[in-house]
Amino acid sequence: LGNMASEMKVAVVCSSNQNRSMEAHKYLSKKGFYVRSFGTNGHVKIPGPAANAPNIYSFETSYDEIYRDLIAKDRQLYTQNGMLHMVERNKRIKLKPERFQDSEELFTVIVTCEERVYDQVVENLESRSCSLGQLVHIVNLDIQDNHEDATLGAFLICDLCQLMKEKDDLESEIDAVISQFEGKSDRPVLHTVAFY
Amino acid sequence: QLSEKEEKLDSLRQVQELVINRDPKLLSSFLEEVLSYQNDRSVDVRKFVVVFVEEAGKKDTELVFKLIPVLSYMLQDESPAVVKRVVQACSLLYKMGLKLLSLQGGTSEVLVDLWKGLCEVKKQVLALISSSNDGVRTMVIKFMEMVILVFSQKSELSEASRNLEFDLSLEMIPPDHDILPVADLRAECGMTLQSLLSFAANSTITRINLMTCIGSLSNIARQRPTFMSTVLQAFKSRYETLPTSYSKSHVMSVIKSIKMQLQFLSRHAASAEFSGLIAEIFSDFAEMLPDGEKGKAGALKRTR
Repeated sequence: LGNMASEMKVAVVCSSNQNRSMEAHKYLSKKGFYVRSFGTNGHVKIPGPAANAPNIYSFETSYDEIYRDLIAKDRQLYTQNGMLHMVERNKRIKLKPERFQDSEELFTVIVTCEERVYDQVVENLESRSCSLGQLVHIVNLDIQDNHEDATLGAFLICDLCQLMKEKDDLESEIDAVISQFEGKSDRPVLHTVAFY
Repeated sequence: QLSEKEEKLDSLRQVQELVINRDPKLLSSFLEEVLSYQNDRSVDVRKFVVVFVEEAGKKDTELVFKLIPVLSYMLQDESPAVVKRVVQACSLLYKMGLKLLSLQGGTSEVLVDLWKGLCEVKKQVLALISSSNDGVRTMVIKFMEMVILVFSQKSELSEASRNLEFDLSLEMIPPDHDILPVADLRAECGMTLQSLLSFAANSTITRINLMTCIGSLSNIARQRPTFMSTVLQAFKSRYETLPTSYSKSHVMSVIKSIKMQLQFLSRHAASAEFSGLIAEIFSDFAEMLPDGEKGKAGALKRTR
C-alpha cells in the first residue's frame, strides 16, 4: 500500500542471479530505476575447471563466500575466466543471490533473460495465491550467458525499461513499446501479463 | 518544497499508516475524511483514495456496506487510471460484500441496500468492457473471471482457489437465501462466460486483452472443471484465427501463452478425457513454431 506512487518496479531474472541479471541490476540501478534481481534455478552454478564440473552453491551462499571459495580453489583459473571479477562486482551490489520463487515483492515489470526462465517465472506466478488483481508485465529477451552478451543485454533491458517508463498508460501502449524496441534492437521479445 | 499534491499524499499516507497498520479501530472515524478527497484534482490522490477504500474493506469487513456506494461513484471518474484501479478494487470488495450477505439471513434494509449496491456496481463494471481504454478492459476481464467463479459451483476436481482468504463459490450461498436469488446467479455465470468467450473471440481484440482472457479462461477451467471442454474449444478456435493486425512477434507471444496455459490444463485431472484434443492442438503448435521451438513442442506432447 505504501508504494502508491506510479514508480515502475523492475525485476531482472536469469538462472543463477550472477551474470546477466546482475549486470542489468547494476546498469538499471545506475540509471535510477527501482530494480531487484533474481535467479530461478534450484542452485547457483558458476563455471568450473571443465564444462561438466561447475561450482554449485545454494542461494543462501553469499557472494563473498562464493568469492572466497573460488580463490581457495584456483585463483588463477577464476581470474582468467572472469568469474572473480563478476562475483566481486556482485558483492558490491548486494549480499547474496536471490531466488525469484522466494520473493513476495510486487513488480510492475519482470524481465527474463531466456525463454526457460520466462516459463519458470510465468509458471511460478500462476501457482501463487492471487488476491490483489494487480497486473504485472513479463518480458523475455534472449541473452547469452557470457560476459559480452550480458553487457549488451543490460543495455538493451535498460532501453526497454526506459521506453516503458515513458508511457503514462503502459497497458494501452505495451504493443507499440515492444514493436518499437524490437525494431531498434533487432531481437524478438516475448511478452505476457499475470496478476498478483 | 513539496507540491500541493505531494503534501496531500504525504498526509494521506500518514493517516493510512495510523488507521490501517497501527490502529484499525480508528478506521471508521477517519474514513469520511479520506473519502473527501475522492474529487481531488490530482489523479494520484484519487487513486490513493481507491487503494485506501480497498484496504479499509480488507481490514474491516463491516465497512463494505459503506464502501460499495463509494466504488460505484468512483467508477465514473474521468481518468482511466483511476477507473482501472476502481475496477480492480471492485473485484475484491464485490466478492466480500456478497460473502457477507450470504452469511446473513433476513431482509433488513441494510442487507437489501447492500445487494442493490452490489448489483449496481456489477452492472457498471461489466458495461466498461466497451471502454476505449485497454487497461480498463483488462481489469473488467478479471472482474468477469471473478463473477464466473463466484456464481458457479466447485466440484471434486476443482483446483483450490487462488485467493483463499476471500474464497466464495455458489454452493456456499444457501439455496433458500432471503435476498440472493441462487438460480439467477447461476444463470448469470453462464451469461458472463458467454460474454467473456465472445469478447476473447473478437477479431479486433487487442493483444493485452487477449492475453488476459487466455489466463482468465485457464483459471476458470482449472477451478471449475465443468467448463474445461468449453475453454479448450475456445483456445483451439482462437489460435486458428488470430487478429490479422498482430505482428509476427505478437503472434508468437500469444501462441506461447496459449501453449503454456494448455500445459497447465493438461496436468489437470479433468482434462484427461480431452487428451485427444489437447494433443491435436500441441501438434498444430509444433507446425506453427519456428524450428528451435519444434523439439520442445514435440517433447511437451510426448510427456502427456
